[in-house]
Order: sequence, then C-alpha cells, then structure tokens
Amino acid sequence: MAFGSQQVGTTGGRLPTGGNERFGDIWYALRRNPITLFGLFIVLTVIILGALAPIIAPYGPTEKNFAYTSVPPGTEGFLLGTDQFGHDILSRLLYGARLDMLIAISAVATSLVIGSFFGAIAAYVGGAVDEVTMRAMDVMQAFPRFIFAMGVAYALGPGLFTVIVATATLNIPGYARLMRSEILALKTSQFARAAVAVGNPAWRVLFVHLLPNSLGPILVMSTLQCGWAILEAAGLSFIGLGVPVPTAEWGVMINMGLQDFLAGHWWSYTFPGLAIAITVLGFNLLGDGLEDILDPRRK
Amino acid sequence: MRLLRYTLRRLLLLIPVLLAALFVTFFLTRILPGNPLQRVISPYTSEERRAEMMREAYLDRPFYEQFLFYLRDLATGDMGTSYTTSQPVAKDLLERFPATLEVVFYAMVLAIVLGGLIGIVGALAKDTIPDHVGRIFAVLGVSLPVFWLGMMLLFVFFYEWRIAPAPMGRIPVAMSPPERLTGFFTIDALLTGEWEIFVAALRGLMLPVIAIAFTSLAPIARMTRSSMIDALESDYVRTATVLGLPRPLILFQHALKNAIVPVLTITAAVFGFSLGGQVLVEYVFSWPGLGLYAYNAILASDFPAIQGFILLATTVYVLIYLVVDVLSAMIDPRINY
Amino acid sequence: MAMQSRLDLKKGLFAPLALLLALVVILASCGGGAPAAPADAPAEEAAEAPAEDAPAAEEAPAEEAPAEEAAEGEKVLIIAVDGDIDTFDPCCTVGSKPTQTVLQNTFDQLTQYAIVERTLPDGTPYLTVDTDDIVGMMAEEWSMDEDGLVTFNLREGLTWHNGEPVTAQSVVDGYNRIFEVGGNASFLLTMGGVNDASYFAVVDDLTLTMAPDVPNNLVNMNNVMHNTSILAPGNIAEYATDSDPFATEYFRENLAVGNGPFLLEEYVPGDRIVLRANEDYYAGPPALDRVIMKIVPDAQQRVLLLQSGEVDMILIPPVQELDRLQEDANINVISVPSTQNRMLMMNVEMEPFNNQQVRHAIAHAVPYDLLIEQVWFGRAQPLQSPIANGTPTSDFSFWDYDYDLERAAELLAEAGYPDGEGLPPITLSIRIGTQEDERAAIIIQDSLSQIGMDVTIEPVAFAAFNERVQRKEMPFWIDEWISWVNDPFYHLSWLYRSDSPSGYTRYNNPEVDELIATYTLWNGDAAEREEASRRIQELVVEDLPVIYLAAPNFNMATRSNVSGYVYYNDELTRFYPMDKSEGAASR
Repeated sequence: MAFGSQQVGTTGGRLPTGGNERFGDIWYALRRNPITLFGLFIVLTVIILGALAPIIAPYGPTEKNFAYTSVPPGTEGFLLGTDQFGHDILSRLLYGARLDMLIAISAVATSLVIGSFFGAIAAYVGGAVDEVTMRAMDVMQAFPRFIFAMGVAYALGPGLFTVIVATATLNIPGYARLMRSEILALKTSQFARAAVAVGNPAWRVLFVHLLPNSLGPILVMSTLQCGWAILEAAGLSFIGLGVPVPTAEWGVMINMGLQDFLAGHWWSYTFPGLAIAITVLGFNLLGDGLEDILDPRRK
Repeated sequence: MRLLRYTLRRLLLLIPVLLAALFVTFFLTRILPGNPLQRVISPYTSEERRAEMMREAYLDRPFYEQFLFYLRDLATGDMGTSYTTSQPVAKDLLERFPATLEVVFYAMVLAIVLGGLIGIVGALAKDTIPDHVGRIFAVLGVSLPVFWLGMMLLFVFFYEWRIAPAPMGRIPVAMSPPERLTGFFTIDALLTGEWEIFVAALRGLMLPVIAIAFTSLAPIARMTRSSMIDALESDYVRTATVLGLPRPLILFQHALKNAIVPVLTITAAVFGFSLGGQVLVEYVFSWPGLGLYAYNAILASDFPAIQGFILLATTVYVLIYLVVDVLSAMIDPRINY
Repeated sequence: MAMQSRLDLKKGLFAPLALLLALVVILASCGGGAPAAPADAPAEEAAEAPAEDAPAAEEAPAEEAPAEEAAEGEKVLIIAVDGDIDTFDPCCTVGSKPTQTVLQNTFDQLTQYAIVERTLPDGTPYLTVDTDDIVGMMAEEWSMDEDGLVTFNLREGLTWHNGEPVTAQSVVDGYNRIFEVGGNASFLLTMGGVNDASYFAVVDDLTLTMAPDVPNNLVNMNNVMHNTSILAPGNIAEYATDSDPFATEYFRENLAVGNGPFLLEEYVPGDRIVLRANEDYYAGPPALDRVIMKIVPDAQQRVLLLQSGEVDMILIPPVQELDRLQEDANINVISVPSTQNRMLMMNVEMEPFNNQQVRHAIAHAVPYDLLIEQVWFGRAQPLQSPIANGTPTSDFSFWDYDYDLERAAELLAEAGYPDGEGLPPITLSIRIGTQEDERAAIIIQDSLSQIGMDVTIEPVAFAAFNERVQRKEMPFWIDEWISWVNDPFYHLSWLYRSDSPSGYTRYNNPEVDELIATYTLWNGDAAEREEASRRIQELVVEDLPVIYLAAPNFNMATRSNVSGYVYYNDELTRFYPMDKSEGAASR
C-alpha cells in the first residue's frame, strides 16, 4: 500500500503543474488497464496477508509438529501440507510474505536513498564529481550482479541485515544513473531556471523542486526493483548465504524443501516458489503498467 | 567519426574501470572470513610452516602490496593458482568458461526466438488477447526465481517423466567429453562426428537452457514489441502501406529490419546479465561452469580464483555493455555521449 | 578538471598493462585443450602376474586398449564421491576423503588390518576389518618383541609403479620424508613414540626395524594408514629442488608414483578422478580394470545417479533416502554402526559456555531420541560418553543428562540466567551444506528456545568454519570426529588433552591431561589402562565441554552387482577387494 498510490499522491501534491490532475490521470489509466490493476491487487494482497500473518496463520512460523512431518497438502489442519520438521507450510508462507516484503522494501528504500543521493549530487554539481561518481557506479555495475551480492553476503555473515544490505548494494548504481539523467534533463528545463532566477538556493532547487519531479520514473523503477529484490534475497537464502534456516522466508523454504526433492515432497518447495513468482509478477505487472502510464510517449 | 571517437574513449575508460573493479575485489576478498590456505593447513601444521606458507603466498603483506604483486604477476599472464583446485586460475577459468557460455548462448537463441515471436505478435495484434497473453507470459518468466524454475523442470521432466537426464553436468558420467576445439560440447561433438555425445550434450543443455531462456526473454519481447510498433507507425511504413505494397513485404523488409538493432542491443544486455546470474542455475544443475566455480571460490575464500573470475566476468561484461552502447549510439543519434 | 587529469594519469600508467590483461583473458579463452594432471606412466605390462585372488582374470584384455575408450568387457566401477582433492601429498592431506581414498588405493603401507566377516545388528553379514589383527602388506611379515622393537620383513620383488624396487633403505627414506615434511603423519607417529627417521634401522635389503620410545601398539596402528604412504626415492629426487628437497611443492599438486593396486590415470579438477588397475600388483591384478571417482557434491544427485545406474556406488548418501533405496532390488545399502562422535561443542572459555551449569542445562535440553529419529532416521546409535560403543572401554554409566526441560530450566536459572534472561546472543554454527548438522541444529534450536535460550543458526563455509574452529575461537557448534585408530587413549588425546591442536573447546583438566599422558603409551597392566580410560570418561562427562548427540552409522550404497566392499574403520573405500558382475547393470 505504502508503495503504490500513496507516494504517487504526495508526489502529485508537490508538482507545480497540478499534481492532482496527474494522480487522477494515473488512476484513470490504471482503471482502464486491468493487467496493471491486477499487479497492484497482488502486491496489496501479499502485503495485507503478510501484515495479518500473526492473526490468520494457524501455526507459528517455526512451530514444529513432529507427529506430522512431510504430510501432503489437504491433510487435516495443514492446508498446504508440512515440511520435514512438521512446519505448517501455509503459516510459513504468510510469515514469509511479511519478511520478504520487509526485505524488498527496505532494500529498495536503502538503495533508492543512497543511489538517488549520489545521482543527484553528480548531476547537480557536475564536472569532476560527476565523473568520479559515475565511474564508481560503472565499476559497481561491471561486477556480475549476483556474485557481488554473494560476496557481500558471505563477508557479512548470514542474517536479515545481510540480505538487505547485499540486495540494496546491487541497485545503487541503477538509481544513481536514473536520478542523474532525470536531474540533467530537468536542470536545463525552464522550470529549474525559473526557480533559480527567483533566488532559491541550490540545495533547495535540488531537493524541493527537482527531486520531486523525478519521482515518476523512480516510482516505476522501485516497483520493478522490489520484485528483483525478492528474487535476489530468495536466491541468497536458497544457496545458504542469506537468512539462516529455519526462518520463515521463501528462499529458505525452497532451500529446505530441496532436501526433500527425492522424497517427492513437491509441496515443500513448490508453494514458496509460487509465492515468490506471484508476488514478483505483481510488482512487475504494476511496474510495467506504471511505466506505460507515466511515459508520455505511450500516453 | 564521432562514433569512433566515442568508442575509443569508452575503450580507454574501460581500463580504469577494470582496475578499479579488481581493486575493489581485492579489498572485498581480504575481508572475507576464512584463510584461503585453510584447505592445505591442518591443525597439526607447525606454526613455522604456517607462517612460511603465508609468506610464500604474500598473505602476510598488507593488501595493497598484495595487489601490486598480483598486478605484476598478471602482467606476465599469471593469474595465480587456485587454493581449492591447486590449478592455475587461468586454466580453471578456461575450462569452465565454455560450459557457461554454451548454456547462455543457446538460452539466448531460444529467448530471441520466443521473445521475438511474442513481440511481433504483440505488435501486430496490439492490445488484443494474444498480445496480453504474450505479455503476461513474458512477465511471468521474468518473475520466476530461476533456481525454482530449474527445480520444477527437474521435478517434471526428470523426476516424474524421466525425459531429461539427471542434473549433473554437461554429459553423463560414463561419457568422456569430445575433443576440445571450441569448448562447446555440441559443436565439438559435431565437428568430430561424435553423434552420441552430441545428443547427450543437447539433452544435458535442455533444462538449464529453458530455465534461463524463459526467465530472460521478457526484455527481448518487450523491446521487439515496442520497436515493431514504432516501426509500424513510422511514416515510412505508412507510406508503403498507402502505396499498396504487400503486407508481408512491409513487415519483413522494413518493420522487422528496423526493429532488429534495438532487439540485438537488448539481447546483448540480457546476455551479459545472464552470464553473471548463472550461479543459481549452475548450482541447481551442477553445471561445471564459471558460476559454480565462483560460488565455491567464495565459500573457500580462494582469493586468486575469485579475482580471476571477477576479472574475466567484468571484462566480458564491460565489453558487452560497450557493444550495447555503441549500437544504441549508432541507431539513436539523440543519445548524448 | 583535476579529476580528469588523474584519470588520464591512470590510463597512462595502466593502459598497456590492463590491455594485456584483457588480451590474456581473451586469448586464454580461445586457447586449446584441457590437459589433465599427469598420470603415472604405467610400467609395461610384461607378464601377467598369477591372479590368485582375482576371480575375473580371464577377462583381462589380451590387447591393450587405448586409454580413452572403455574396452569391451572392461570392468569399470563408477563411484560418486562428495568432494575434490585437497592435496596429493600423503603427508599432509587435511580432510578430503577423495584424496585419502586415492592415496589408500594407489599406495601400500607396511602393514594392514585383516579382513573379517561380522554381522550387523539385524543379522546381515558384512565384511570389515579386525583392528586388533594387523597383518603384512608391503611387509610380508612383521613382529614386535617385548622391548617394543618392531621388525618388518619386506616382500621380495616389490616395486613402485615406475619400476623402482622397494628396499628397506627406501622405506626408511620414505619415513624420513614424512618426518622432515611435518604434517599429520609425523604427528601421528610421534604420538606412537617414534619421533624421527633415526628410530628406524636398516637390517638388510629387505628387513628394517622401528624402535619406539615406549613399547606400544598405537604406532603399529599408525603404520596401516594412508598418511604413512611411502614415496619412491627416485620420484622425490626427480622433483626435488635445493630449496625444496622433498618436492613438497610438486607433490602437493601431483600424485607421486605409488605402489598400490591402482594408479592414477586422470584427474580433472572438480569433475573426476580416474584410477587404473595395476596389473603387476604383487597379490595379483585387481578385479576392477578402472575406477572412476566422479565428484558430485550434492548428496541427492548421488542418489539419482545410483538409481539410474549411471554410477555403481555412492558415498555419504542422504540418510533420509536410505529406506527407499533399500527397497530397490537393484541397490544394496550398507549401514554400519560406527565409532563416529557427532557432537555439540562448546568453547569452555567463552560466555556463557564457561559456566558449567549452562553446559549441563543445554545437555538436559537436547532431545536425543528425537534427533536419532528425525535427523538420522534411526540409523544412529546413542552416544553418552566420549568413547563410542565400538571402541574398547566405552562406558555410558556416567551420563545422567536425560532430556528434561524442567531440569534444564532449573540449571539455567541456577547459572544466573532465569528463563534465559541476561544471556548474551548465542550463535550455533554449522558447516554450509551439512544436511544432518543443519537438521540437528534446527531441532536443538527449537528445544533450547523452550528454556529461554534464543539461538541463531549460522551456516558457515568450510574455510571460515575450519579456521575459526582451529583457532579455537568458535563458541558453539556441531562437529564430528572419527578416530582412525580404535583406541580410547588415541581418541581422547585428540579431543580432550589441553595441548592438543584439535582441542577446539579449550577444555583443560589437569587430571585428564595427566591420565592421557601416562596411559596413552602404556606398557603395564591393561586393566589399569582401562580403569584410567573410565576415569577420564567420568571427568569429561562431568565437565561436559562437549555434548554427545549420537554415533551415526556409516552408510553407503552400491548397485547390487557390486560385491566385495569392506568397511574399514577409517571409512575409506579400498577398491582392490571389490568386483562388479555383469548383467544387473542397467544403463
């Protein structure tokens, strides 16, 4: 929820060109675009389910029922079955939604703040600062993405914080580049020139006038990045470098389910995989849709 | 001319980027937990011997000195010796690089075919049911965790139906690899006329290729669709249509031709991305490629192996992006460089 | 534009270099084939040795087939192993079972254990070794007099694979290398009271003696192990340099010329290790012509390969698959009670494990039966003492730490941490990818949380894990130990002597030290030594630096057409006694 419309709303409010109108545009476009709306629906549903996990989950996230290990879906009391420790898969999926959303949003927020900061500074100051910052971003981007995350995760040791940092690090250059190009475009705009002309200090022009105007593309990117972040966090946990076992996290669940592959207990890894797929799909549909809506060429 | 200058400038900029990447790697590996010599040191190794081994490997020096030593060796073509495999890193990389490249290459071919098809259909039948279906299919692909997709494919095609071979490398254990010409097992087997190996290699490639292709075709489909739409809506095509040229001719002669460069560009980008993101696929399929090598190297704190891998990967990566940027610059003169 | 110029400077400095790098990489990737590690040059197969114990000798091919192609009727055993080679030098292998297996099969030692048939608890007969019965190997016979002087009479006509004759002098030279190079082997021999090569003496060409400080049997048990493999003097000389007279550098990466029933044919790092039969082996050529050790780190993949018949044998199968494998008529499962200790280790100098009551509390909070059932699926024996059931003097009577959460909570409160309040953050470390340890850790974590101890499980990669353990800086972890010599004092001195390099818990009890020092090499009354072992067990169980989880069985599985497997107490596979019949193999 926090991610979708609310931010668009505040953005809209600050837009000098009549934000409410734009927000209205988005909402109008959304309504006419069922696929995007569907994406929004998925994301909201996952967030709500995650938030309500302690209330609606029948079991605790790591509550063990050794009398019911690896029971198939549909067994009395265990709608989606249990894993080899008798963990209820449904409950873990719900708690996992909570954790994975937390990871995704924290990671994206972290990289957004840091990346945008560097990008904005680079664009606004220009010259040597710009060159150095952007070359540093080049270096970061030149690293194979996942290997870099693995290295960071391994150096920090397994844990929630690690996953967030490792995932966030990957996205910093993306935000920096985006913000830089947005600001460069806006900097030369009439609007910025006007703001400077009426005597606004540089930082004010940057943070109060220019940044909010770049929020559209950033919103799109963040939505898409949330999906990526979930995939990457799950990947790290899957190979044992992310959140440690037996935490109720989707990647961990797949990792633990993998041990049951030969036993044919497909439910222990299929459902968490589906949960990831659906959630990421939601983010991707929403992000793609927003991009189309916000892209003036597609309007 | 301007483009050439741009390319040259980018090539030069590549060098500091590579050096910086290497330096960062150096720094990062040195903060990795674990001593790389752990594999050859036992608790019964004497203190002196241990110190001697550290000294021989320059591990007792500050990391910037190690970095200079590394550069010096590198200048003579020596990438060091892996602590885990006890083999020269260059040899290790050379052995594994084709394995990775082969999967990614076939995956890209499949992704272009599928993604291109989805994009063309989407563009021709814009905003109809096939367009939506294709789009959801593509987005679904990019939303799937590739390791999970790999597992599901294995469950269905190997575990349940027994169509695919076991997830363990490029060819069955009992088979020896074909004589090495290109390092691509399929091509080498063909060139040497080893049909059995060719079929086995193809079977081994099947599932990982599908997994990678499906998870990476979305950008290709998207780009094909949008550039096809742009091309179809161009004055040129409109004129041709008005002039009454046959539609297939317009499509293939003009629209597709215009769409091909951006599609190739995006494919190159996806290709670069897949090369780096191979770890999880190789992990699931026990594919003896670079990704698995890097994974093991990181877990063993095998500094020379990690450095070698990063050097190779970043070089490939940066070169690919350079190609992408030059291509984009060629087609879109508006790009500011 | 200061920055710009700095960049230019960098370019100027490093451009040629970096271009070179890029070039090297690119050229390298275009380069040619992948040479395997040099294989031992086979001695010309001149005459076929009389094959006494090789039932399938008539199948031996008359014409030499090229190495690459499996000749028709050639017997190839494919075995899936879990890891790769660490070093090829017998002196210094650290823990890689494949390395040790290669060494054990390519080298003979002076002596070996006699093979006997025993029965499993369920009545199934199996082949194993009698660790009390040491018989000759390179030595045709050996003897020990009452002063402890050991005499070895070497077989006549023994050679290394390069044709170099095995003489008493070359054996002593080989032992000299072991001591000079250092490493595990010399450590082991020193433990048996043999401190350097001067303890050996050449009597004549085929006779040598060894005179330990104290008469004892431990040192003889050391001479059966792959660590005491002996390198051919000529082979050493070939690769020795002034700074490296024992060619340690070379032999770390290359297997020395052996003298055992197999030779290394090919090694492709990360992929496979291929052994070929030594047709000239003194006891007749092996029944198997070739052994391919395929490196498959994933336990489930090993199972798949066995099921599909792509491999004939797998080591370390995932324990939860064994019941299913056993139902398969094409597969034989061997599950042997072993003396392995699976342990919850605590660093007794680190908080809160420096508090004995905390350790006792944890011991009461471990659900031992549940672990055996859920982690090992019944394929493990209880372990309630540092000395496992299969080792002499094992005594479980000192153990009174039943699974009792109330008692555990009480003890924790007495230790000053009521309901876990005031405890520092606790991390339980396990090695990444060790499935049994991970499962055990999850169950222990759950149980400890019920007495208020919140534990985070930390999977650590082996390099970091081993380093922390070996520096004795790991606070709380799961580990395993199996002693290759089935002697209580041998076992105790590795883990509980305060000055042992593997005393990872920093356990220090002067009385235990003293007892181990006195009785390890003991020439007196056997009953007194047994009594001392019991006393140590009592002390260690009371001090409790280690909580014993279980003694898991040794498991392995083969296709049903594979025969002759012998379970050795070091758990390494010997291929020489093994055979494979045709027919059942489905490929």
